[in-house]
Amino acid sequence: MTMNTRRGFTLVELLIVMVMLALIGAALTKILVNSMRVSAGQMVQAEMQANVRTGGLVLPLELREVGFDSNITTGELTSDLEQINASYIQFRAGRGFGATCDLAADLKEFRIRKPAYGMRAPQITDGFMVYVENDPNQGADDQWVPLVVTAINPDGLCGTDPAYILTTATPTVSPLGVAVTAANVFVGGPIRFYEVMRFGSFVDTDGLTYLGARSISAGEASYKAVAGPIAAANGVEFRYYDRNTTQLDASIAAPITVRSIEVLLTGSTRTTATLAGTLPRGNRTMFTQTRVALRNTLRH
Amino acid sequence: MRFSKLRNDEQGMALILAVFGLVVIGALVAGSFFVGRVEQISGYNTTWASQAGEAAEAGLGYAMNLDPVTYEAIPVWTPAAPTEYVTSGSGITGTTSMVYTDSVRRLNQTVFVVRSTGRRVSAGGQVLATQSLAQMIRLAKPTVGVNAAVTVQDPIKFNGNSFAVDGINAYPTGWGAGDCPSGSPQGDNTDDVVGIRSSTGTGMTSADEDNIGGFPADAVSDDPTITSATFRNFLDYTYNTLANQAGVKIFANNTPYNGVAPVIDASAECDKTAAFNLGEPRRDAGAVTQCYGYFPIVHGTGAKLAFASGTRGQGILLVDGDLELVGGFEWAGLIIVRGQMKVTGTGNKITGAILTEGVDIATAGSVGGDAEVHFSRCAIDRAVNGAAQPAPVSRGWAQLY
Repeated sequence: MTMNTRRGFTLVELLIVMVMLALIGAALTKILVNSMRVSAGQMVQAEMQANVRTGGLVLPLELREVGFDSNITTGELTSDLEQINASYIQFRAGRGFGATCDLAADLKEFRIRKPAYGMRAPQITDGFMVYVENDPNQGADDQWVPLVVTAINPDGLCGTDPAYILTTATPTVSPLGVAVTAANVFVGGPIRFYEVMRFGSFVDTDGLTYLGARSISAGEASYKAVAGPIAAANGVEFRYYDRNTTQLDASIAAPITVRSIEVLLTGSTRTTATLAGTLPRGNRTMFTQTRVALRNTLRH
Repeated sequence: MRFSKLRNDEQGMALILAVFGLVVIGALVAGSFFVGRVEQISGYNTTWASQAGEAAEAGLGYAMNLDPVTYEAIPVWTPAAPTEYVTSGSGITGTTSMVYTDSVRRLNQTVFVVRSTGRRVSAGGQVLATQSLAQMIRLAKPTVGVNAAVTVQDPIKFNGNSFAVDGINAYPTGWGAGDCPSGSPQGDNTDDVVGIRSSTGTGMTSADEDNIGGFPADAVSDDPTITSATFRNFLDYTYNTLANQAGVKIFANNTPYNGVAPVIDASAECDKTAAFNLGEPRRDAGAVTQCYGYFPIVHGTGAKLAFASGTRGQGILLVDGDLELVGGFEWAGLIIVRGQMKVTGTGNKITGAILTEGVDIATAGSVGGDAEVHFSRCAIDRAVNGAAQPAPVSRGWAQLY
């Protein structure tokens, strides 16, 4: 009696339900997997975009301050660009400047009033340049003359004001042929400090290629990643232009002729990814192109 | 009845599956939205930072175009007197979302550093991004080698005995210490010069001795330091760069000018845009006080420039060709003439200095009438300062972050 009154599913019904559930589950799984793949791809893509954007910002920022020295005796010009190449660049990167607040009579000590403006405080490995006035009635003889700094005391004073004390070798005559004396360096005059940097691509320990920076001033032997990963081949390219915006051959051009630099970055995703949710997966790339005018080269 | 019971007993998975599906889809949408939003904000930040940088550049550009008088008025910065010239939140034409603030610090007499802070602000005034730049600026001035009331390359033909050429340093009539921040006449000959200095002869005869004075001599002839460069090269400037400088007043060829006097505008300010406003050299009751501080560069083009009567001005007068002053002409500052110069009639009064390059100035009566030429360092300094222009210093641009 009980058996007769209880109604169950037939085998066929169960099979049909199981098949339907399997089909729905498979479809959902497919959608889910694809969606997760798209989501992961988007994350990877976003990271790459952020990296490329970082590289596209950092390099122009570093390059914008590039200038030149002029020897007023010989007329010779020396660019801050030390080495130019299609795949790397080495130059004096500005790190900051300050105004002198005290000078030793023998010019073996320069004090810079705090704060020093710029990216960071001066370091002993930096290069330093002091502004030499010469004839105050003319600007053509003004120069930035290198200082050989042998020690920095970051806790000095100018009167009661905090100051950096730079101990220097006596800058009697600069490499540019200008006599540096207490008469042509004035208290309140500016001092700039810079770091020789080299930018280029390199392969890191993870096997990926990055845009790297290396401080030549600090004696760094290898690159540190600035942005990336970038494409293994031609991930970063530098193009150089003269005053007429004519592209220069980096292998033979004199750095002093460069007025603007174009930075071409091809970013690559860290892992393979797809944005369509379908195979095949692969490393996605993104290309940016930035032209930066070298602001301190515009007068010659 | 049975049908109803079966309905109640149904245990389906549709709702669970639907909710699960919705959660999954929601999570994916939220994830995509989050990624997109991060990208959008990152993009905005980049744009805003760039715009703030451009605003800072605009601030540097503004500082480069400040009136040199503004620069001159800034004292040298010291800890005891830390005075800077500061603009407050200047906007950029065409937008209210980008503003800049400049602070100009004077490092010494000629060198300044401008710090410009650019900001990208929202419609509500919230600061979205800030960038700071610096530019060192030199206040470039012409350095004119003046060491005589009148400097010439050939002898002058003097006419009559009513004229006066005097190398003793003095204020222009009516001027005082307030007009001359660079210093007052010393009165001990240390700042005096000769009356006439020539690369050949001066043209002065014994009959002219009472009319020409100076220190240490009334006149110096055969001065080898006077060359054509004396009249053309002024260190940071040349004759041509001065003449081509912005804001120069152009006076055309062969037109005699009468009654050129200072002009004020509707706001009762000195109208520096007026074509025939050459500043106010007088300090008497009828003087236009608003134009005391206006020292323009005036460029006379063509073969000849002539001023007839009632004309007055101050600054630097550059004349490509000949200059003829017929009478009633008053000038405080420098007059540099590339051709010949002829002064006749009454009422001509030049306080400052004259440099005449003309090679044939021996025209009869080239300086005559009751012409007065008085050396004045003050008038020269004011004229030179009026020609000053802010110029960027080599390697003077810096990113301050």
